[in-house]
Amino acid sequence: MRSEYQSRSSVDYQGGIATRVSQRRRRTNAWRSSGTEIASPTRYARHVPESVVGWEVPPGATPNLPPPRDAAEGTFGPRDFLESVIGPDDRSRIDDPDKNPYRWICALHIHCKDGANFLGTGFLIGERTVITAGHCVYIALHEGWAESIDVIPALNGTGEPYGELQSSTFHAPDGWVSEADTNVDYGAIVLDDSIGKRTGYFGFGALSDDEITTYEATISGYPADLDRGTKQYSHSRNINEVTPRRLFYEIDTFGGDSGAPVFVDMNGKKVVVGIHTTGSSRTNSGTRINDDVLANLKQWRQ
Amino acid sequence: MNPKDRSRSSSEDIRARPPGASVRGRVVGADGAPVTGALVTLQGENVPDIAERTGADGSYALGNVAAGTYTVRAEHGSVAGSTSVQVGESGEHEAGDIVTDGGDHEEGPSQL
Repeated sequence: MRSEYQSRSSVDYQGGIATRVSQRRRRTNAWRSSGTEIASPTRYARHVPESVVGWEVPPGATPNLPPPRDAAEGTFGPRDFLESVIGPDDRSRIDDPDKNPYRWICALHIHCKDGANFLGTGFLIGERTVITAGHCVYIALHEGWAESIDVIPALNGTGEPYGELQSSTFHAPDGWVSEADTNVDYGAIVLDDSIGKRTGYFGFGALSDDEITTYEATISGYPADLDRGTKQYSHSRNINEVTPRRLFYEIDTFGGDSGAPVFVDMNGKKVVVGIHTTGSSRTNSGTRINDDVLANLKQWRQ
Repeated sequence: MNPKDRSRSSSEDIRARPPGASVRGRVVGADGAPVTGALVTLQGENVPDIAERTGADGSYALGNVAAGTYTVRAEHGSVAGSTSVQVGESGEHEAGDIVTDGGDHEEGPSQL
């Protein structure tokens, strides 16, 4: 079912230039392991709205290349407990996440003030700004704002091509912090290092209902049930339903994917239209980038 | 203001929602010893798609959970276990111990 809500198309893009980035710290994780090579989502190129401006791949960045395809279903088969995986598990492992757009996607290791640790996903929208779910930066049950978050762009098993970037500077809408309102479950991590100059970063936009449902959408993140959250997995499917603040889809996800980008391919340009937040046995969902979310993301972007 | 505690207002018309309930519990091995660093996820309807690692005492706590019946899944290396828990509108809900199905649960970092 579609909402009657229609937002004007508004998309924001920026590129960057290569520079040095410092690696803050590393940890040894004895659990990291490798898995099976898998496939990529199909991408459909369609028109680009006039409001898409300023797109460029940063100098030195690898052009977007389609990863190899394979049959994820045959590799994984049906699994118990994967209730965020709707029907067959169609997720595909990204064999080389150090390519656009996958290297704009980051594994998050979230350290709470009370000592609890979580796994999540985020994505770069600027040289120093990573967007994620609100519940990845402000975790009310664990003393609120995270103590620190390790951001690992393009994590690939034990490979960390851009290192681990630790941050303790976060943003989230008041509605999430004060009310835990799932309609505004999104937030930002501000990095000290301008890693986005090396990696590039996503554009994002407040698209109309029709645009969102026309394009095939992709979610790529770090689910905890596969490779212990150290490999990036992706799945693409059309979005089923949009409301003014939420997106509903049957794109397969799992715990650890929270904060992953919901993005579409518009003539080769990857535009984030939502932030994945919620798993379910029937339909997964995320926060829609509407005009209000767009305004906050622009404000937070550095 | 502490930089880490910054939150920015949005112009959104916030729809107030009561804070959800929480689910707490512990992950243990077949011998009853706590499993440190196990990945715990909550599966059901409309749950935050986040994974938690158990602490040194094998405990976990997941918040912002709507009322309903959930499966709590714990995984650590090659071992796994699960339990179900019924959650009300608010408050803390104890899921009890999740007993993993054997294997060596003593290896692995105590932190991420």
